[in-house]
Amino acid sequence: MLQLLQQTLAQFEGVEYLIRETKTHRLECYNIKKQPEMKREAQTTDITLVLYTVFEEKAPDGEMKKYRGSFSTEIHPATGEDALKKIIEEGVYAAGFVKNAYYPLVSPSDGSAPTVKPQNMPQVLNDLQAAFNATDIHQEGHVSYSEFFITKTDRRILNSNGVDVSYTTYNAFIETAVHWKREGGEIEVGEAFRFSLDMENPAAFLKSRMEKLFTASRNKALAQPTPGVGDINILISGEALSTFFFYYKNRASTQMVYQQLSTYKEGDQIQSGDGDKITLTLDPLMQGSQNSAPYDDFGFPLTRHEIVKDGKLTKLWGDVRFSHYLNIPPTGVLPNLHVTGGTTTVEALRSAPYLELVSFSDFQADTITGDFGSEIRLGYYFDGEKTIPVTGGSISGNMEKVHGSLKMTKTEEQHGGFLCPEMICIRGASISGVV
Amino acid sequence: MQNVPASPFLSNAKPVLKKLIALLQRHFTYVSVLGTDVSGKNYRVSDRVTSISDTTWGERGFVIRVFEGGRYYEYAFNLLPDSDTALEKLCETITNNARDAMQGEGFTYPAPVEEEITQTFHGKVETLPTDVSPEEIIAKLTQINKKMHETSELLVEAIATVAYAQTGKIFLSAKKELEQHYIWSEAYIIPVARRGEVTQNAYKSYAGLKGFELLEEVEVGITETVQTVVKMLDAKPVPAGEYDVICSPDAVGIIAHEAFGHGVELDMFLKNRANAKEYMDKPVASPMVKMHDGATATNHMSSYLFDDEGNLGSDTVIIEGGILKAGISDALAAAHLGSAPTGNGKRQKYDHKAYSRMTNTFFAAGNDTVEDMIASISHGYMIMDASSGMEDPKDWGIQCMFSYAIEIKDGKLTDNWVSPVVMTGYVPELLKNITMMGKEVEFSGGGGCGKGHKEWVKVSCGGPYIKTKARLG
Repeated sequence: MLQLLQQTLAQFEGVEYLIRETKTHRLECYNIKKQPEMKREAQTTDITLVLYTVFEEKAPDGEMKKYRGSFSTEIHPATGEDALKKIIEEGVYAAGFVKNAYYPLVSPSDGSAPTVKPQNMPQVLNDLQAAFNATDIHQEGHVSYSEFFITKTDRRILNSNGVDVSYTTYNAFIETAVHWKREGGEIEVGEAFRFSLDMENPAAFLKSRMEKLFTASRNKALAQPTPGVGDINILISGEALSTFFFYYKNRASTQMVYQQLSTYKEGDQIQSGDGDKITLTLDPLMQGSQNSAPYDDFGFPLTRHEIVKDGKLTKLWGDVRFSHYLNIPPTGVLPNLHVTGGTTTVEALRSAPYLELVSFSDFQADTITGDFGSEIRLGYYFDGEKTIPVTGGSISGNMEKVHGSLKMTKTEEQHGGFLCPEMICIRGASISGVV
Repeated sequence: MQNVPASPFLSNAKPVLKKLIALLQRHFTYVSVLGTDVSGKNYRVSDRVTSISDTTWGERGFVIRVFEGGRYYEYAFNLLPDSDTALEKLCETITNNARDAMQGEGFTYPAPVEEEITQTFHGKVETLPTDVSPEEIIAKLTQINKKMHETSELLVEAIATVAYAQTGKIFLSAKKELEQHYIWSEAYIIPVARRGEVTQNAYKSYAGLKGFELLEEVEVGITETVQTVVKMLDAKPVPAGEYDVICSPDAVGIIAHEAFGHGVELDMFLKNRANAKEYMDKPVASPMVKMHDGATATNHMSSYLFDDEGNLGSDTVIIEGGILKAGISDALAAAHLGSAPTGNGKRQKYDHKAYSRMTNTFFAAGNDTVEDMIASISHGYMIMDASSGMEDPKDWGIQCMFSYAIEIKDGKLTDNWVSPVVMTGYVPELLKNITMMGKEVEFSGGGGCGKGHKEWVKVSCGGPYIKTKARLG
């Protein structure tokens, strides 16, 4: 198909293009408690074609200015030559009305993608399910359901500049919920685990996360309504931290800066105050991350970049297009984020009264306004004497108002494509308690 | 009005799929196939970036479902065999994989029972999006962008988008031959304002089973949305507490969706994941509450002839007189629970599993006016513009996030705005506290709905203005 598409594109003089081909093979297993409910399999090929045109027009200041138009479309892999010609003709016509400031396309690079060890997908599925089921041994609690997805993805990216790169990934996704008995019924704690199969022992990793989930569900069964706690240390751990720290990553993107949705400039002290200062590194090949890739969606080769050092923005990140607009070197679009550990320990953070939040309905942070908030699914309240699990109520605040007091543990924990301190402490967020 | 045309891709595929079904029927008690062809464009104009791309809701492929001995198996693919030999080979692959998958202990379902039915549905729109040139669409969005800027000098960005999805689906089995073709469109305007260090964004969405006649609707609301974002620059955080609140139809829609939408998806009953299972025919809301979900309950984003398992859409009354009456189901959950499928089996795309999913979910109208609601509150808030929601059907906890709320004091709206607003609470308490319901139901259909951590589908939700009590933070 790619050959036919390239041959057809060659018939259109002056048309530049990008092609992304994604071949997916996915094994799926759905279980109710420990019983398989249904198995599924998917074998698909998806092709994205982006057509580019370059044209000049008189700008408002009277000068001739160079523009780039583009049009992106999905091509079914069985599309014939005549249909392809029609798609390209219509696409080139449409691209002529997309008047963006000129930018170059990605150029070919040296090097190649790291070799990926082939995986026996049915075996991986069995091993992960066995490790998962081995944790379901409690009298008071059990797995309600689980869904397992093992995916092999072969990606190839080509463009009219001569880029032709490819890579393979193997990833796992597991969604589950655990129930635990309490007086008058049961509670539920849900979780999703995403990881790549390049980690040392995926089954052991899954087992350890499931054990944590069972612990959380046991504690939620004992939880009391979250009290009004006033101004107190708020400790946060778990996957919600990715939302918290991606705020900085997103605001440091060249696209957000170009669109004036972010006011960040290289050299800005983006986090001030007496707390621990953040250091952020984008790591394209983070082991265990389902997002790891040697190239971005445009075929640009990815390497590690430190973007924030001790609270100071050292580098904006972005693709070739938006970096060109800001006249800075591109980094490519890097999916994984490493937040370097801070100066304290979990024990030290738990030494004074606190509200520790470990599970949320849906922790959200608005990249534009900095507002964040969520309902509390599970937390622990320490009043200086005793610790009780709590549930309900909500947290809300603004990143710019809480990050000055930030404390982070030295120890780090990985959540898919996000490696960060195991726990953080903030002040200044509002807690709406239930009682 | 004109008919949405049929999908040539699916018309061409039909004979091959029928052959495949016939081959597979040699090995399985039941065989069905869903074929999908969803295509469309997304046009976006902002101050510095313009784009035209395919809709992210697009899909083109097939999923085979087979049943034998109480077990189901599905195989999804998007390349049709191009010869009889390739067809035989595909049949062999599916048969072998299905047999492997059905081995051993497993959850079993009763054999599917289908009625004979052949039906085709073509939606109608005023303007087919494919009849409008990219030039006209970009020009229109550019004009909207300009108008947003003309309304306020504080805007640093003004985004205008419009998208459509032309949906073609076929469902084939031994007894069924169903076909549907319809279009939904949606548009957004998103002004972003900045004053000093404070930046705010607001949005307004437009959506429906419409073509690009929708573009004409966007004119209405530009000034109001820009004025809203400018006003939000002065908004303060809401003091945490429980208040009398009036929820706008947009906010009510998300409450309906989260409160007793997800909670009555019957595949959740199978996994014992929904508290509603224990509350059927019991009071869960104020007696004035009536709530619907269904593809035929209204004509909006998720109205269709048949769902992704070939069951006809219906109108389910979930709550009537405050009593929980019924849930919504996919085919398998219904079979297991011994109920009739409600036509709510939806897939994110052909290569995803079907689950019990919402379609158009809404509270029915009441008899009150917004003016009377405001006048009845000594201190509270009028909540506007839903941005997201989440529910725990097992524990009946609910979280809804809204862009802003306006303070009400002594029966009057004040000039005090708060933003953002997080509403949390216990679902039956929130619904039992409803004391007034407006006369007019309005729907929203922008965005999408996920299940668990994935599985995005199009839905709509809505209702009238309501007055209740809620915890805000």
